Amino acid sequence: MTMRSKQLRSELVAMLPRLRRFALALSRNRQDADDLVQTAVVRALTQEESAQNAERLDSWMYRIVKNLWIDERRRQAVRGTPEPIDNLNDTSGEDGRRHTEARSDLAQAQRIFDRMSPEMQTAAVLVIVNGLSYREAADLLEVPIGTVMSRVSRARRTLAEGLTQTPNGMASNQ
Amino acid sequence: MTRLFTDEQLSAYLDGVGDPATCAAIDQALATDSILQKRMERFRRADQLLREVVDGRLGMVPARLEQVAAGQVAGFGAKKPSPVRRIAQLAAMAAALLIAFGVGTEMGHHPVAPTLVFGPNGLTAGPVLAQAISTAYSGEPVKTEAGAISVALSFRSSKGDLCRRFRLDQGAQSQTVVACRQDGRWRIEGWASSPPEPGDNGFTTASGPSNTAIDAVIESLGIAQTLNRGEEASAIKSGWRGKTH
Repeated sequence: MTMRSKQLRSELVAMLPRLRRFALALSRNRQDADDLVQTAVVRALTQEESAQNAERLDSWMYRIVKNLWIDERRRQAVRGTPEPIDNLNDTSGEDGRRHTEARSDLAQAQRIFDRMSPEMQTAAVLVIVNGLSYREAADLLEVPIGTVMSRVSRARRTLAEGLTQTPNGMASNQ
Repeated sequence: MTRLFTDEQLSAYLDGVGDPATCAAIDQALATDSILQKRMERFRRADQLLREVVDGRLGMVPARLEQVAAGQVAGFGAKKPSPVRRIAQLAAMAAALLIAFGVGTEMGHHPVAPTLVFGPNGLTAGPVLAQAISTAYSGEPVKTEAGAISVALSFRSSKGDLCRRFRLDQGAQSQTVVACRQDGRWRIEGWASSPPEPGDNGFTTASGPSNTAIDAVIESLGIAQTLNRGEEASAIKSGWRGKTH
């Protein structure tokens, strides 16, 4: 394996968390997200020269994930309703006595996040969680930069307002 | 004073992209304006919770993804992570799916022949798996050292490559794989973990979400022609030398 191949693999491993977050925002389902990322990684490894020559590997990978998801969405449109969003973090299987304020805030944040539009979720994940610039997110999502700015802002406001409306929301802001 | 700044301006400030004059004004106001401080704190808290929601939902990066991306040999007999929470248990289940799905490199040394091999042409089937893909008929499961192979579909891609979609069962672990014949090897175009049979945790089977990535791979390859039984037999006999371009 050449140094460039090793470097590529190392970079791919490092960006897996970011790719999975983006894929989750698109697919709203962890298993689908991992399948999307896995397919994208295999695609990168089978097109290694293109991957190595990409000006920005992360942008190139984000784009592959997005295009795979667009293909998948077309198929879902034919097949029927997509799976509902995961609820892997529901606390039903955990000890109810351990519901701390922080956990309650997190549960509320999950509910608010799930109710956001896919567009808002995707912009928020890319910018707030993955740290893309507005310009990078706009280029990837193929929307004006102002649209990204607006979606990110609305996502923040929606979360902040939703949290302050819960009994524990204000307590969390101490 | 707080009302002077819109949510969008505060949001841009947090993301470090606000215009300099506005950012300077926000900085100045934050020094004394307690209402603005609380607004900003709520936004920061929202950001933090958003990260926790997303990363909590995803759990650990599955071992299979790391192994594939790194081109490392899958750990035969590797220890499963000790789950302490339900999310961790689910992540460990996902990670375990590929532990037996051996991945090696052409330069590597393996105690057992790897199921998949990384080489200059990308990810290809190891010798045992390749033999099974080359000789199995659709609908007739074949048992090999690499696991049980059940070919579901043989087709010619839009580029003219001969490809097969099959299920690889290794004990309780299953993968759905798409491979195409290129340069005398079966190149792996994509795969996805196949869910357990119906009745186990309510997962669905063939048309379920785990196959969405496989469907996407096949769609990207394009199906120019589906091989019938006779054409499949000819391809097996000729060693899958059927590229048309």
